[in-house]
Amino acid sequence: MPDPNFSSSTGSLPPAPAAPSRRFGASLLGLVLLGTVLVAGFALLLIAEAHGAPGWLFEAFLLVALVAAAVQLAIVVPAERRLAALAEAQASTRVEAETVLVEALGHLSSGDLVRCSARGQGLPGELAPAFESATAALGVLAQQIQSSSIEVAGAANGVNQIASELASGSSEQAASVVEITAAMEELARTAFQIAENAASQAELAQRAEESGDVGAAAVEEAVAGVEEVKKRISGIADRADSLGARSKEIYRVLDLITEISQETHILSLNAAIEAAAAGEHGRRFSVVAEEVRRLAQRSQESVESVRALLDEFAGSIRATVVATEEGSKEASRVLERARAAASAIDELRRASGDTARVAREISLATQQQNAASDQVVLTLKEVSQVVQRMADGLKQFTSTADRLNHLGLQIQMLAQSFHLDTPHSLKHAAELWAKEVERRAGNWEAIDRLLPELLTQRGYIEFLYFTDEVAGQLSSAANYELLGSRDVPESVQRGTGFQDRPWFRSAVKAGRAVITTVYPSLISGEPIFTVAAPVYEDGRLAGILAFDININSWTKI
Amino acid sequence: MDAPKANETPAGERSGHLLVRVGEQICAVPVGAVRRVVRALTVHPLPGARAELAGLAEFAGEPLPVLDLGRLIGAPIGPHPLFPVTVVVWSRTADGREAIGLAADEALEVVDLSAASWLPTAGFLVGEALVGDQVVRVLDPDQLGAG
Amino acid sequence: MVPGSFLLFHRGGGLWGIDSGQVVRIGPGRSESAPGEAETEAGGGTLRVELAGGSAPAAGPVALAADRVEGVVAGLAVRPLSTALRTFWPEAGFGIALYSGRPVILLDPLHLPLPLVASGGPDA
Repeated sequence: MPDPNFSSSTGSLPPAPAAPSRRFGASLLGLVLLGTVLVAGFALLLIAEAHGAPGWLFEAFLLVALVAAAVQLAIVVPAERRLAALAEAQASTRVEAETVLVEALGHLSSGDLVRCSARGQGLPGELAPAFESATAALGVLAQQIQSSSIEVAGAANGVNQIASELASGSSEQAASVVEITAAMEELARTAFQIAENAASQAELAQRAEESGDVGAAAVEEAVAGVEEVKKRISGIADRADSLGARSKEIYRVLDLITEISQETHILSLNAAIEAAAAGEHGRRFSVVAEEVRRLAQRSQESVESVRALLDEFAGSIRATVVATEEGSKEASRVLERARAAASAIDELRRASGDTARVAREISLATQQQNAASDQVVLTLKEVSQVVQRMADGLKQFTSTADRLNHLGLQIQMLAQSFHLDTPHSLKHAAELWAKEVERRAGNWEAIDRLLPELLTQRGYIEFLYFTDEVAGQLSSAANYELLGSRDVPESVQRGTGFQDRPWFRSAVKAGRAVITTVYPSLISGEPIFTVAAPVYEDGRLAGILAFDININSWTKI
Repeated sequence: MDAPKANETPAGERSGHLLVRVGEQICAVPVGAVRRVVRALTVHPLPGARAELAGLAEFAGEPLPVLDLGRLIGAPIGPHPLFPVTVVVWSRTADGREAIGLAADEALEVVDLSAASWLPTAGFLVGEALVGDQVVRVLDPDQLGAG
Repeated sequence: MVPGSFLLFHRGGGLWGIDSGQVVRIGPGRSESAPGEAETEAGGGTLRVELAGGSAPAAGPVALAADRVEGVVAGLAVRPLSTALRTFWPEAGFGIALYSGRPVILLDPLHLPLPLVASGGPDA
């Protein structure tokens, strides 16, 4: 970790060269140049004259030389003198610029871009804006580094979170795997039972089918028998009909006989009457008449007997017909029932066939199911292995994320070593607040009021305090949301031994805001770092303003 | 000389009577008075006639008045007869005899009846006799014309 | 003197005859009733057989109710009404005959049976 407590050091620059020697150098060069031109000219003139050049050339040359010398004196030399003066001015400017630059760069090397930028404005000409833009660019870079470090931390935390989620997810997954495996086994058992049931069903269906065959045959026999009965019944009915018809004929004959007997009867009566009228002579005749009458009577009686018999017969025929009709109806009913039974048996056979088929299908399906569930179980085993590996990997992941977080903190601290003119720059905050304290220097009550106000501006600061130059007095404000219910220890409250503290000494020494490394807090015992800035009053040190930040809060900066 | 009037029966003597049934009742007609027993003749009613006159029929080429024997003797109407008959009787009048038909349900037989139990009554019912255990009412056709 | 020809007509189930010389005309009856009714309803009748004379010394002609006219017939063998018939049918008539096997009572125009007289008296 680079030491933030470096103090400014002046860089070494080569000293500015002396002006007069430069001036001299310039004139000398001019004179040499003039002399060279004159000599060369003269040489050329001699050569030309030697070669028969016109005589006026020498005078022309002399004239030109004179003109040149005059020009040299009148124009060149003053110009040279002006240039020399200018160079001298420039040199002094340059020296001045160098000083400023050196100072500014000195601030820069301390990481104090604010002072560096402020000092850089004293640079001459184009240097100032160029320097300004350069420092600004650097500041931006530092800022970017600072915010990037937070992003890194954020990413690391995110990763951590994900990792923990994954870890819990994977443990859930592992649990699910166990559950699923149990369910699969249950399923396999159920499938097995189903298969067994299906097999027994198939067997039943098979037997049903067989008995269905027997049943169907029986029904067919019954149907045939019933139809036979029906035929017989209808035969009986036909005979009964013919008997009825015959008996009608007989009735007609009886009627005829009755008619005849009646006539005969009347005839016999008339005969008797005639016989009576004939007196003695008619006596034998009356006997005959009587016999005839009796005959007619007997025949009528026979007719009556026959009629009675016939009536009885007709009655029994009717009864028979009715009975046969009933029988026929009954037979029809039986036939219907037999047919219904036959169709029911057919249904049963079809159903049995279906059942057998379904049972076979179930058996097949359960076999497939078993294979599938075996496959699933296997896959689940693989999955659980993967889950395990993932859990292991996540552990590594977590530690990597921790390291990443730590790295982020380090980068943040590095960025914070720069004093930038941004709200995120802790050093800047410290210096601004130091100014506030400075305004109230000597007024401890005002400072007591000030510190809690300032504390609320930055929620990540755990403890804000100001001590005077001898660490005799202390004003402080604590963020109990962060500290919890911890009390600020007595020693801290009184600021005992603060002057020996590293932050105190570095701040005093640096004369500007400083940041410490991470060290355990006196209040919470947790790792913190401190930002401290000196407070001046009338050019002399009034005290040190400092605040503690818990490293767990660093991402909130 | 008149032929023996067969229907005049001295007391104690038995003479032949034709038994006819009308409803539940049986009447006896002396055979001497019976001209013929025939199947029931077609009777044409006469409006304005007494109830006993069933109507007019034709017999042996002559018109024949037919009396309803049941109404004559006051017998309740029985079941419809199967073989109704008309007994054609001679009724002696002052100038001779005339034929009258008697519509009856059935002509039974000719039996000998003793006149001992006959009661001298007015009208055509001259008495009652016993045939077996059946009471028969004896008719005198000659009285029929008198009403 | 027995008339030679008679007008024969049916009325009330019986067949009757009247001296055809006595018949003035035959016209429709007073009441048109059903054939079965006409035979029993006294005084009704599909036809009227109007006669010249009357039974009583009442003024005007008399008419007989008839169900159906058989026709005018001659040559009937007329016999006197028997005692029994007169006993049971007290109306007058001077004879009985047979026509086509059917007994016909021949009426005396002077003593017409009331049941046979058409109701309403003589036509005005």
